[in-house]
Amino acid sequence: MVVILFCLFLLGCKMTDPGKEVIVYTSVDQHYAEPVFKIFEEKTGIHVRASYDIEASKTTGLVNRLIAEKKNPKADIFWNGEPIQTMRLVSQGILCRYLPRKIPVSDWSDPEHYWHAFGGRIRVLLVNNSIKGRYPIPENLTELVKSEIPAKKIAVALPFFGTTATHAAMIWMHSGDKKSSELFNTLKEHGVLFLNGNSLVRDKVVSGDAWLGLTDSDDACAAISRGAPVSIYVLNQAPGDIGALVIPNTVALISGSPNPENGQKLIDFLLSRQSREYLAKEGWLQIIDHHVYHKGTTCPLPTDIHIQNIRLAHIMKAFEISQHALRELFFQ
Amino acid sequence: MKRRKYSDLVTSVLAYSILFGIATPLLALILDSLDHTFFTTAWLHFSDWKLFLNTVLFSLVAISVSVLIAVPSAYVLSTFPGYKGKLLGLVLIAPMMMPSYVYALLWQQVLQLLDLPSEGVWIAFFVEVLVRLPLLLMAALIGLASIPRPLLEAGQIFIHPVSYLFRVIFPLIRSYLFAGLSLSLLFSVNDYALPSVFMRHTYTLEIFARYSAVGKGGESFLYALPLIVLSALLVYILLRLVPKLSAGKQGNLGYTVAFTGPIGFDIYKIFAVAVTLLQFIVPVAAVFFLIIKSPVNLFTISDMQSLQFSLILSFLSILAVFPLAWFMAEYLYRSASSMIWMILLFLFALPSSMIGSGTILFWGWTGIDFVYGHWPLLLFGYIVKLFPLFTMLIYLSIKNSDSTLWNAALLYRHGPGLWLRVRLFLIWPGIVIAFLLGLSMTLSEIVLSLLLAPAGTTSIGIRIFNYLHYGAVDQVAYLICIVMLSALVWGGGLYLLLTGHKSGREEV
Repeated sequence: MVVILFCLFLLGCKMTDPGKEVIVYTSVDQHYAEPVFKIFEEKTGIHVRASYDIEASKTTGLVNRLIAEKKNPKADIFWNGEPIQTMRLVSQGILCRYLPRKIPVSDWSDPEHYWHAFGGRIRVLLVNNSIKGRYPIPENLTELVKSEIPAKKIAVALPFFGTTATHAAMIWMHSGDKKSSELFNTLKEHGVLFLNGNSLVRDKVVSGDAWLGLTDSDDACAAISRGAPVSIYVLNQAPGDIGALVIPNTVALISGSPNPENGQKLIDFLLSRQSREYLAKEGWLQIIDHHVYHKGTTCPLPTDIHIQNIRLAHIMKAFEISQHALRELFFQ
Repeated sequence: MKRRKYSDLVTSVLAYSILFGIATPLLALILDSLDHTFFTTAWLHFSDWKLFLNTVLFSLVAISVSVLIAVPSAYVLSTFPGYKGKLLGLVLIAPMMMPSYVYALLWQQVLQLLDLPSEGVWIAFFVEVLVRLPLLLMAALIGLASIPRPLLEAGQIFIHPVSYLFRVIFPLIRSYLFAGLSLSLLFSVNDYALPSVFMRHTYTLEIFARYSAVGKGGESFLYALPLIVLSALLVYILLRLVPKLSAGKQGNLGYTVAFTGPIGFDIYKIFAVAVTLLQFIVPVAAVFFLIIKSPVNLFTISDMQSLQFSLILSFLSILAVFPLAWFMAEYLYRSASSMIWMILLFLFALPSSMIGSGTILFWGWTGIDFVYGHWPLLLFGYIVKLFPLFTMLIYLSIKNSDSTLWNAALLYRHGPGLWLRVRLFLIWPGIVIAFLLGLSMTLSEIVLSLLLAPAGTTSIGIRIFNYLHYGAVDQVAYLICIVMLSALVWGGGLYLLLTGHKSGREEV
């Protein structure tokens, strides 16, 4: 009985004053998000309780939790590393409109103010330095398919979750169903390595098991900062090409949340220059205000990157079509 | 007479109240699913049925191969004199405590190191055979222990050694094998984490994907119904075998006689034992190798907090579910209510994602803020997950225990003391197995933690899973080692506590 009471005490002893807290569900990696929350806590005195997702589900777990909690929400805000799952929440009626008064919002944000985009990561090619000079580096995915680099030395994350799914949806939006399906079918038939996440792609390229990998700029920059023998190449930079794909972070207020005012304060903080610059210096974001952010970072991205004009409003439909096609293609 | 009727009524009301209280997530899902028209369209999709049959067939074939390895291995182990065989058997079934996806990942690491294929259906099949082996080995060992030695010796006199294995040993322990096979098949078809490691698509993965895509618990519940029905059927078969498991319980606790045959047969036996040793040595060696080669300070403060949270919650959920399950098992032993069995079977077969979404649905409706969004919600989820398993294992233990001893005890004593000081120790095997399985399930549980854990906490299962996908395999190895040691320490402690008193069963 004493042991049980002690356990209950240990579990209950962390309770804080409900009026002085904000609950956030986030797909952002814990070691990036936690310090930002700590800064917010020091600044405002509001305690942040965060729930993080599992890497494999790439946000889907927390999104499903938000949907299940719809009638009695527990979270105040949702901070996502990509926009698609956030858009899904709009259609489910989970989010509510919020327009920050003192913070300018990005033109990538939802025009109806259900969610706001800030900062971003770029889809890049990470190349092992051992192949420099031996093979031409592809400038876009079409060239990747025709590349002389052996297919088994090319690594890509599975296009079902996260930023790779967003990237696939963008491809479907630009190229249509037939061409996009052919592209992925060719990649698969050639034997390109499809892995369970961008971080695994990075690790394969760093170790030399793969020579080239499609991943996010935060993973690529992290590898370079650790001294790995790799280089970053930004896709679609040739004259007339569509430009680099930027995957913005999104943040939204949950409808009917227990602490909406604290949630608004946290959203304002995340959208602020201070927070974005902090995340950029830590390596989570590489793009701020449509430009590559270099101050205080060591990531060797070119300064003058041509960025794609994102039409996020149309991406949901393309996402559904692409996911259906890719599931049929990939699973045995 | 009146007093007894009143007492029976109270017991029945209590039993049904407990059951319906725990089944509230299932009820919430059913109510939620009534909104959807999915039911009319789901069953017309041919590819869904094809995937379902593929999943079941794959698991069935893999487990059948495991049985063919487990039986000769168990027989060879039982020929070791004294306690050596039992100790070795205990060690070889230890990988049961490892979450299946961790086991799979460790194998994947080894295959990649040896530059062998590490993905695809055939690798998935290979690892599936190995991961189900410990449970089947345990079933075979227990089965062999129940066969009288003279019967085993007699069987050898007139029969060719190959026939002896397949026409004497297999039939004598078939009930135990079927029980092991049913449980293994149950775990296998409901496992989505292991197939995902090897890029193998299964019906269970599809349920999770559909739930992710649709986000509606009720709709996904309907989609999961074939799996639930199959799982319920398997558990029903398992329970039907209980009377046969009790037969021949004269107990052969000594060692059996070794038998040899033609060279091909000996090669088969050696191969089976080699595979059994391999399923233990390779992943366990990989764990220790990863720990040794990693830098110090692997265990962060966050990991410590997650481990503390998970261990406490596992401990509390097992303590909470045990009296409820024991009460229900005793009630079922006396009254054999089909309705209760049916609900239990469905609860047992319900995937974790359904339990999670049903729990959120139900507690969201109640609006009880102390529970909703706090750790009691996750505790409730674990109780729902563990209750059917605990009830069944304790029920099996009760059926298997010596009723004459219990009846004798009833003559001289009554009251709670009798239950705690006599009954508890008569049914200790089921309690220990339930405890170990419960600890393993709660510590490796991901989906329930993801859906129900309060904000600000991360369970150890989620940490392990995230580390896996970040490629931090050394971190995973460290955490797995600690989880397994915790489970073995607690399980071993409970075993010593309960077997410190005599169970009343004489050894032959």
